[in-house]
Amino acid sequence: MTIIHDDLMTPEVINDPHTYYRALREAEPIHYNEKWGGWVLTNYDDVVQVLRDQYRFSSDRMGFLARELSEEQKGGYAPIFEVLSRWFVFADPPFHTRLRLLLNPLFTPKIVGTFRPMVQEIVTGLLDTMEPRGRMEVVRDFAYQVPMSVILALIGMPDLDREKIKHWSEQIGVFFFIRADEPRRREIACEGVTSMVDYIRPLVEQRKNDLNDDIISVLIRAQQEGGLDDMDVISTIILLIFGGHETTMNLITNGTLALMRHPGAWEKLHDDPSIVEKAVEELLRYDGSVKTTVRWAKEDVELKGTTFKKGERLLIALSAANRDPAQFSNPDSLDLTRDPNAHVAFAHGIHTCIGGPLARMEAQESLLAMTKRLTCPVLETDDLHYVPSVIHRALEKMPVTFKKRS
Amino acid sequence: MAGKVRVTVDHGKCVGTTICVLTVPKVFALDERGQAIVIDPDGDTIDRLRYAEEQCPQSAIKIGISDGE
Ligand code: HEM
Repeated sequence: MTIIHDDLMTPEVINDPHTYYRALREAEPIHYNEKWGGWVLTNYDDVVQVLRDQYRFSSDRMGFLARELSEEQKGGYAPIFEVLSRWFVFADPPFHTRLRLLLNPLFTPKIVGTFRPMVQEIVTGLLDTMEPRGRMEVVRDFAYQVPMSVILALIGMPDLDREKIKHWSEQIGVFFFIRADEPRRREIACEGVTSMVDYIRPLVEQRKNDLNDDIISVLIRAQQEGGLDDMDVISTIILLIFGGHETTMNLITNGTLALMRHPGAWEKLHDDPSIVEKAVEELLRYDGSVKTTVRWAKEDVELKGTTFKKGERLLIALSAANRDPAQFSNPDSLDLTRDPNAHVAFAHGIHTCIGGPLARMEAQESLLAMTKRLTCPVLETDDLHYVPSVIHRALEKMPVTFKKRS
Repeated sequence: MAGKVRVTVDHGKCVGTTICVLTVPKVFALDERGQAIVIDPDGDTIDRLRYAEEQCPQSAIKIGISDGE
């Protein structure tokens, strides 16, 4: 029936996932993708329905992966299993509930607000450096710096080795961002995980004698109350570093690009900074940084006449849901004051991003400062490349030129 | 004179994290769409309610004290 191909990694799909997913949603919103080996969901309603049903759909990525591997293969993945099977984003209740409720108080909109001045200061410092140069590579020179500084501070880690940490995070990312272009996936990811564990373990040991209010201390206190082991603490810290910087970096980059590409949008935000909250929500909807997530059917489940068999996996296309015309009027146009805007860029249900308030605030301050101080940037090249990932919507590089506003 | 507690959930914002239900289960429940609804605004102390309000990543909950009639 379908005329839509199943290769999620072609340059066309990677560069412009929205066109592909629109065609898929129009042809077959619940589609079995033979190549990926699972169902792809592109309707807003279906996406929301699955995401809020943690009873019948599991997030236990490592558990389901383990079933596909032989004992020997699993051995090769040992360090990855040890850490990632403790990530609450990949866990079902009750383990998920325990960690989510433990950490949620550290990421509330109110707490995040107390970090706003720190973010403003970081952003100001970065632009002070970039402004006289008249050019920057947005990803590295700006978008990455902001969230990395903030997440290390929140966790309570010294900001001495961010290049190393970045490198290890990227190595871990190779494993599950479905980066099919990398034959040494497994080795690279194991190396990244092991390096990160070795780096964090002594920091945790040290902090045990010197507890304060940071995330490491909160985890250690919880551990002392029982039920968490050393590896739970270390793995959770790795998850927060990992989830906390790249996604936000990509939102700032994608958001900047969207403002640049829509005539008048940059000036609109400059002229009326009070729209920034709505603008960031729209940028999350329009070209958010996480395109998809995955769930596994825990039992046979029927949805609109299709049966997902127990154990089958589902690719939940958040980007596609965010452009569903049944939910959003003119879904393919950027409307910086769109309201209502119930996007699913941070997913939906129990796993809804814990870092949402933080990412929002970082993006708001970044875009406000940029539009305030710089004229609308111009791409130095039209030859932009996206990271070949089914999950992340990530530009490799985005070199731009601009002028200081007079 | 103690005021009357008013609790509202903005369904334009609520994404069903269930954190409020887990925090003050006598006050909130989920509707059939998985969004939070108020079942009993007096189901817990005002401090616990304020805590639940704060914990919502979507800032979808609002607690107010009205002066009564
Ligand atoms: C624009 C930036 C971000 C986007 C688009 C994003 C997206 C997401 C999405 C879609 C999920 C749900 C995954 C699923 O349901 O399978 C999620 C969960 C999560 N995110 Fe984010 N995220 C962002 C920023 C952050 C930040 C700044 C942090 C760190 C503080 C973070 C940490 C997490 C964690 C720990 C989870 C798991 C939550 C749970 O399972 O309860 N994210 N994120």
